Amino acid sequence: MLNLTKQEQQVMVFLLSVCLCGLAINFWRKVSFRPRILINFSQNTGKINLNKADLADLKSVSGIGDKTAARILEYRRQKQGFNDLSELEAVPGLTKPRLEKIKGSFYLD
Amino acid sequence: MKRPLFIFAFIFSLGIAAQEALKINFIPLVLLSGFCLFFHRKIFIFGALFFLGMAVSAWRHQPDNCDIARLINFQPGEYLVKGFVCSPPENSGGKTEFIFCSRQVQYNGLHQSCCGNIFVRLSASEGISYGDSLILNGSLQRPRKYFSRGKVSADMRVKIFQPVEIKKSLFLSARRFSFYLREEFTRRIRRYLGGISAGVIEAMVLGRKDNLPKHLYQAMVRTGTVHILVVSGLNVGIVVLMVDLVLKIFRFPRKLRLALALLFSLFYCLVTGASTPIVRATVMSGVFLLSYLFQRQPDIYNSLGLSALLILGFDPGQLSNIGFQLSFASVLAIAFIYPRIKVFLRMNHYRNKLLKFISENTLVSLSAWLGTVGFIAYYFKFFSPVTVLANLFIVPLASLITFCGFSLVAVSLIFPPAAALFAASAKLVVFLLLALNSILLSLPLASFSWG
Repeated sequence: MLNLTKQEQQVMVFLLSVCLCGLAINFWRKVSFRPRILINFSQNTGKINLNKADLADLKSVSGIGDKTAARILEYRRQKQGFNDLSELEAVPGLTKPRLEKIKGSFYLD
Repeated sequence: MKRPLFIFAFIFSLGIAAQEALKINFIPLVLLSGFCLFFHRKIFIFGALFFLGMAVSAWRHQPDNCDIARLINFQPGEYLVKGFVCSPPENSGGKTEFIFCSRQVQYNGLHQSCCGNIFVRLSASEGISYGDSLILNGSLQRPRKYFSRGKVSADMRVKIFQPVEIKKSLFLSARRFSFYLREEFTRRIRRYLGGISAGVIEAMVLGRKDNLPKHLYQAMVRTGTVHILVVSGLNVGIVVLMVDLVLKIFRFPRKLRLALALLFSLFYCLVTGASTPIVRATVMSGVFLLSYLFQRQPDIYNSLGLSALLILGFDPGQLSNIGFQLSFASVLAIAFIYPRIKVFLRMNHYRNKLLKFISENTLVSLSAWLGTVGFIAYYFKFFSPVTVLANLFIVPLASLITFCGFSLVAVSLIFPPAAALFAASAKLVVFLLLALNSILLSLPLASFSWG
C-alpha cells in the first residue's frame, strides 16, 4: 500500500523541493523585512474638506449624527461656505467640547 | 501506491501536530526536509513530507517583522493607516465592523510600510465594501478579540476615513461580487420569510448564522443535528445537482454540464464564505466531477486527502480547529465504517426498498456519530444518545429545507410572484423541523453534559 513507483518518487521530490523553496523564500521575506520610510501623507490626508463634504461625509466623523450634519450643511448653505474652522461654533447644537473633538477631522481649501 | 494523497495528508498532519508539541525552529526543519530529498527512497520522501509539515507550522508561527503591532508599540496618539478592507463589513448596533489589511502607517511624523490585520470599528457607514482601499484616521489599541480565522494585530477606533483610488483585480472583483450576491440573496430570503424561518434558511443556504436565535442553535447542538446548519457537502451536492438538471433541460453536452457544475460549486464556496466544511466538500466534489470528466475512477480517501492537504497547506492551524476535525472525522467514519457494517448486515440482500432505505440512512448517521462522538465529548463535555434517531428524521427534512431555500432564491430572481409559494412551503418545513427537534429533545435520556 505504501510503495512508490520511480515516477511517483520523482514527482514527489520535485513537488516537495518547490514547496520547500517557496517556504524558505517566504520565511526570509518575513524575517528580513525592514520598514520602508515613505513620503508622509499630506497634512490633510484622512481629513474632510468642510466646504465640499456631503451629508455622508459629515456623518462619517465620529461625534456627528444626522441632525448635526444637516445643521452644518444648512449653515454652510446660508453662509455660502466656511472661511475658518472656528465658524463651526455658530452651528446650532455644537457645544465647545464637542467642537474640540471634531475640529481635527476637517480642513479648508 | 494505493490512495497516495490520503497517506501524504496523514504524514503532513503528523508533522504539523509534532511541531505544535515540539516547537522547533524553522531553519533546521527546512534543512532536514531538504536533506531527506537527496535520497530518492520512499522512507526519506515520507520524512521530507513530515518535516515539511513541521516547517509550514513553524513558518505560520513566525512573527512578521512588518507587523503593525511590532512597529508602533501602541504608543498613544493619532494614527493614519492605509490599506484595504479584507472582510465583508458587518453592521451591528449602529457601528460598522470589519478586518482591515494594513499596508502603510503614519504616526508621530513617521510614515512607513507595514502589514497585519486590524479590527476596525466606526460609525455605521454603508459606503464601505470588501476590497475598498481606505486611509483610516484614529487610535490603535491592543486587540481585544482573537479571531479563529486570521490573527488580528490591533483594534482601531476610527475618527474618519478616506477612500483611495482602488486597483482593479480579477480576484478582488470576484470576491466582491460573491459578497454582493450573498447580501442580495439574504435580502430576498428576508423579504419573503421572517423571524426564525429566515434565520434557518440563511444558515442552511448561505452559511450566515447572525440571524439564527441562540436558543435554536443550542437545541440543535443538544440533539446532535447542528451540522445541518453548517453549509457543507449536502449543499454542494444540491448545487451540482440543480445546475446539472437545468443544463440538461437545455441539452448541454455531459462534459460541459459537469465543467459548469464544477465552476458553480467553486463560486458557491466563495459566496458562502469558504469555511472549512464547504472547502472540503467543494474540493471533494471537484475531484469526483473531474474524475468523470477525465474518465478516471474517483476515490473518496484520495479526495479527502487532497482537500486536507489544500486546507492545511494554506492554514496549518486548521488541524487544531474543532470544525476541521469534526468535518473530516465524520466523512472518514462514513467512508470507513458504513461499507463494512453494510456488508456485515448483508443490506444488499434486503428486498423491501423502504426497509433498505431506512437501514442505509440509519447506518450513515450511526457511522458519522461514531466518528465524532469522541471529539464532541472531549471538546463540549457532551453526549447525545438521541443523535442517531434525530438525524434519521431531521437530515431528510434539512435536505428539503435546503432545496426549498435554493429554489426560493432562484425563483425570486426569475419569477418573483411565485417566490411566495416557495416561501410558504419553506416555512412549513422549518416549522416541522423545529417541532421534531423539540420532541426529540424532550425524550428521556436525550442528552448528557458534564463539567
